[in-house]
Amino acid sequence: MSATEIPEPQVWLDERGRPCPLPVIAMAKAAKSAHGSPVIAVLADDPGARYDIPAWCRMIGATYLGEISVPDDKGGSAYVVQISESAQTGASKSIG
Amino acid sequence: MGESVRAAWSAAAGLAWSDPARLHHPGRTASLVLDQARASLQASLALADADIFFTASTESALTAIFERLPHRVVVTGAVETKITLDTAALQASTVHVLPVTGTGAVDLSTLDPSWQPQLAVLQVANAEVGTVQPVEELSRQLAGVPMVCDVTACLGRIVLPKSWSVLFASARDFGGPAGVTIVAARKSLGWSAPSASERGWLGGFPDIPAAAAAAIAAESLPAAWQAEASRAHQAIANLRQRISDRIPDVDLVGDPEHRLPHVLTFSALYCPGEALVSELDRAGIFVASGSACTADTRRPSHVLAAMGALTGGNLRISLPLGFDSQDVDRLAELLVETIAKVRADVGY
Repeated sequence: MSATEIPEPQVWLDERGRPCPLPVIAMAKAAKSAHGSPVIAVLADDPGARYDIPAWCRMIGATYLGEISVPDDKGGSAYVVQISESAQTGASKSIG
Repeated sequence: MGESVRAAWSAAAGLAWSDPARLHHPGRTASLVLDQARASLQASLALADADIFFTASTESALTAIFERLPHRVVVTGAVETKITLDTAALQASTVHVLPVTGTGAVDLSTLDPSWQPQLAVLQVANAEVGTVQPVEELSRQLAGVPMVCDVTACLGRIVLPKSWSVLFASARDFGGPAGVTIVAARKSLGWSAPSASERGWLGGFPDIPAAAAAAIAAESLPAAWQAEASRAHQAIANLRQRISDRIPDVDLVGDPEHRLPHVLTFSALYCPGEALVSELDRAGIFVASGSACTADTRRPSHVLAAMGALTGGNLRISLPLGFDSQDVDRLAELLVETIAKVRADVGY
């Protein structure tokens, strides 16, 4: 999905300056307390977040929508996720 | 390095300190030790159809291999080691890097016949996640293109494919010393006439004690390795199952079946890799990790990234030859406890 097609996030989590796994934990906690299927963005500068937010989506059953630039000048990236109903149960699966 | 390997190194250091290119007595002794090491390796690794060379490092091995083969256009895979990818990028004009599937095997459906590569570089199996690569199939599709294969972690562990043209592995990988890498090239490539100054050592002054020690290490690889490999394969399969049953939110990485028998890599959500490694280190278990927080570069393993695997909370477990299965049971319990503790510590 190109940056122009990613829907506007309804929830923004700022995890910049926090090392792994804190950005993923923040996303997981937001997903657990979410209602419906919100679009959530997590801002992170941890080098693993770029890979781990999409991997978390695969494992939990959420949809990774893409990476967008951050709308302020503190740097880092925003990773955008759509939570589904099943993501809220916290059940996960791996590839192997 | 085992005792016998260390002893061989020491003996060779005392005997073969001279320049093997020289015709005086110490020089001839040195060249004899080097020749014997080459012959011994050829026998131990059942490589009668190949010439054996030594070099100092994987980087110098790849450089020497590239110098001897046409390499303007190269095909390789995304989970080769960084050294392999960097050397290919440096030496070739065009490098086509095949992406991998979720299990870490190169995706041959992305091979484009218009590339017309002159050389293919593909590991036999990935040492980090264990997945076996489709070397025979790639060779078949590239019909006649020389195949250069990294066999790190494969010698004495899995049956090698037949379609390689050149193999290489660091001796440290099979119990030898650091500082020497073995290169085996099919005799049909015609590399078999080393100059008097080289005596089978590619690039720089030969480290003969290291070569002699590497040969002893290869001799020590068990003759009946298949039985040990089968035992390791089962132990790792059991460990995978126990982790899957007992620990939630874990990404078991790599092909569960077509893999190195003795390696397991997995990543745990909501865990910092650094904390997992430290906790296990304190319990006397030495594991590696591909997580960004455990790397000097502060970047996650490019292998995990290429596979779309979770990179955080990553552990790589490697069973040594002759492992005790009770140690594996103990490890399984320790992993359950450790991951729960680390998750609680980090606030999940």
